[in-house]
Amino acid sequence: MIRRSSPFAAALLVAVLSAPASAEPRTARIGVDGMVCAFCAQGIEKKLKARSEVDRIFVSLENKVVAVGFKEGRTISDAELGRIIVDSGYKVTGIARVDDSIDAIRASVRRR
Amino acid sequence: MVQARRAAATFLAGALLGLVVPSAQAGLFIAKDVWMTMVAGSPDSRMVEAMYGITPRISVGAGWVRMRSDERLGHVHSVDIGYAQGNYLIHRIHRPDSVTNFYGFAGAGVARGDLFSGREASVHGGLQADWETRRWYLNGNLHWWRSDAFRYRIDSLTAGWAPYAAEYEEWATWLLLRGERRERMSTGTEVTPVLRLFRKDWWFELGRSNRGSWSFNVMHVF
Repeated sequence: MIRRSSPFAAALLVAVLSAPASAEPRTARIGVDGMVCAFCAQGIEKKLKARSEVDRIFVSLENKVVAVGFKEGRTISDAELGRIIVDSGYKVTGIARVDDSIDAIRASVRRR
Repeated sequence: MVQARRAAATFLAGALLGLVVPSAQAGLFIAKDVWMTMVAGSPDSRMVEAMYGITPRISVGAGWVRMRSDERLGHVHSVDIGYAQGNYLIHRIHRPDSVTNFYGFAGAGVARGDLFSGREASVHGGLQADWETRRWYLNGNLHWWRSDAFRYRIDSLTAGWAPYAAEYEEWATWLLLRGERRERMSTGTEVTPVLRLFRKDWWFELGRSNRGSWSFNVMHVF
């Protein structure tokens, strides 16, 4: 005798299989020391924009932060982000993963 | 390849401008994998230079400089030097609101001039220290040029102040005062107030010295 699966169980199975994996935080906030001159800091933007994982970046000298927004499902490791900042001539003070968008970070910085 | 073409184009454009530049050392804060090109001019010198960061501490490149003595020496002579150069970041101190750099640089090239016939091999080198915040700037630079036919030394000290702390994407404005002594090229100290403007990857300086000489400096990074 063939047992038919209940429609409920089938629907549940489909829902579980199609649920997305938990998403990576979309943005990395990098604290940077010594970033006092925008001209000198161009190397940071150049290196990050060259990465295929990166969607947008935001740099604030006032807040000593480089924010990196990643493309959907992509990211760069903290070690690699740190290496990019050091190769550009600066010192990393910390890296935080946040769900804020680049626009949200930009707006929050400007409100201060 | 694109970057090399841009560096070459900037280099050639500068050479064709035929302008004279203050004895300015190209900016030495050159990140790894970044090109920095410079064109500078004043009545007593012209310079075109391109440098590339090969590591976070080391950059290399080439340049051409024309230095001319002024009438204070009693005679006027000039020397042209095409050179290759390496720059080394000796030490950098990062603070939240400042950066301090110590650099050494050295190179070799070929010189032609009024005071000797043919070409002479030349070497040059120097040291630079600078300290900067978003509002204040200090820079000291010692630069020697040597060959069998000449010995020059150019010392400069620059102090600067920014009327406002520009953000990353804004135009930055600086007012600077530069004092320069050119041994065997001039006498005394030439003092030049300089207006500095930069935004993103372009940098401009314009000054007029106490001797009435206009000077400018343009840099581009990519």
